[in-house]
Amino acid sequence: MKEKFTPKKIPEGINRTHESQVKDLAALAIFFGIMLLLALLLAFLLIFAINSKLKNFINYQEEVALGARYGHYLGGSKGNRDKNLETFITHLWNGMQDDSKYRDLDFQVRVVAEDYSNAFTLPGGIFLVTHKFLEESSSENELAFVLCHELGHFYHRHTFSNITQQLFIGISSWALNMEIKIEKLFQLIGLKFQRDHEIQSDGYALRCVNNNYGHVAGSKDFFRKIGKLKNSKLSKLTSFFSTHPPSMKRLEFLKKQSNKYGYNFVGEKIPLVVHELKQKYAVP
Amino acid sequence: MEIIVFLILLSLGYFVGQSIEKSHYKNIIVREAELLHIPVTTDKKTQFDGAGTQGRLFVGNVVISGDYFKLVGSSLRSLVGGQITFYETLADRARREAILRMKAQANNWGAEKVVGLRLETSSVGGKGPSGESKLVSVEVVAYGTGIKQP
Repeated sequence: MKEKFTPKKIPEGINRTHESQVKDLAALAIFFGIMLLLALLLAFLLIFAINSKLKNFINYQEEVALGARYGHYLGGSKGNRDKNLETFITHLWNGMQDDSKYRDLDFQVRVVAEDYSNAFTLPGGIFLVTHKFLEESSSENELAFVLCHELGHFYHRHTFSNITQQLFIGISSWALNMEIKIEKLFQLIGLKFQRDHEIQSDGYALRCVNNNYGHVAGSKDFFRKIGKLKNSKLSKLTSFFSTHPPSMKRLEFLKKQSNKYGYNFVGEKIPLVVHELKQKYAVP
Repeated sequence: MEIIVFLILLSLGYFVGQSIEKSHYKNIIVREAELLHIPVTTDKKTQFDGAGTQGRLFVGNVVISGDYFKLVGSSLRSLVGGQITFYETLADRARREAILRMKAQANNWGAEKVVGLRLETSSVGGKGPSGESKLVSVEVVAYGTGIKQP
C-alpha cells in the first residue's frame, strides 16, 4: 500500500551549537592571553638568567677581546680610532681599578664625524665620541667626566643588559605581532632601565673623575651645555619618552652624590689638548 | 592604532554578521515552510507511477561568506583543536539555502518530489595571494531529480 507523504518540519537548530560565540571567543582569547603572558614571562626569566650569568662568564678582559674581534658587527668600525683618547680612557679606567688584572685594557675610542655633541658605549669596550663633542669640550676635566660616564656603562655591563633587553623586545614583539603590536610599550619600559643606567654611570663618572683629579670640577659642564641646548625644561611626557634623564635631574644627582661623598666641584680645570693626551698619560 | 582597527573589525563582524545571519535564518524558515509539500529524498531510484512520468535535474547553488569575528574565532580555535562552532551556522545556512533554491526551481516546474539529492561543498577564498588568512566563504551545491506525474 502506498504511503501518503506528510510534510514535516525539520526541528530548528539541530546542526549547530547553541553556545554563545562571544563566550567561545572570550574563552579562547583568555586562554591564549594567559599562554602568551606565561611564554613572555618564561622568555624574560630565561633572558634575565642568561644576562646575569653572562657577566660571570665574560670578564672585562674577555669582553674587550671579543669587542676587538667582533665589534664591527655592532657598529664598532665607525669613525677612526684615536690613540690619544684611548690612552686617556685607559688612564681613567686604571685609576678606578684595584685589581691589576683588569688594568690596561685595550679599549677602542673612535671619533665619528657627527655634528652633535655626544658619546656612546658599544659592547666590547668600544666607545664612540663625536667630533663636535671634542671641539666643544672646554676642559680635560669635562672630557674625563664624559669618558668616565661611558666607562661606567662598561663597568656596570649596561651593554649586556641592553642587548638582552633588545632581545626580549624582539622576541615579545615577534610573538605579539600576530595580531597586536605592543613593541612600543616594551620599548618604553626599556627606556626606564636606560635612564637608570645613565644615573648609575653618572655616579661612577663622578667617582672616576674624583679619583683621577682629586676634585670633580668640570663634571657639570657637559650637562650645562646640553641643558642649554634643550632648554632643559622638558615636560614630564618628553622625559618619559627619553633614553636619558633630563639634564637638570642629572645635575641634581651629581650635587647629591658630591654632598654624600664629599666631592669638591671647585678645582683647577686643565685646558684640553687632545693631541697631547697620549704623551701625557702613556703608561711608562 | 592597529588594536583599535582590530577591535572595530571584530565588533563590526560580530554585530553585522549576527544581524545578517538572523535575517537569513528567518527567511530560510519561511521559505522552508512554503516548500514543505515537496519531499526531498536521497533515493537513487524512484518508483515511476505509470507512463508519462517526467524527471528533470535541478541545481541549487549558494556561496556564503563568514565575517571577521568568525575568522578570528576559528583561527584561534584551529590552533588548539575542537569544534569550530563559529562556522557551524555558516555551513547550516549554506546547505539549507542551496536545497531551498533547488526546491524552488523544482516547484516552479511543478515537481511533486525531488529524488537523488546530493550535496557538494567547497570553500572559496581562505588564503590570500601571499598565504595570508582571508575570510572563508563556503559554497554548497545541491542537486537532485525532480519528478512530475502527467
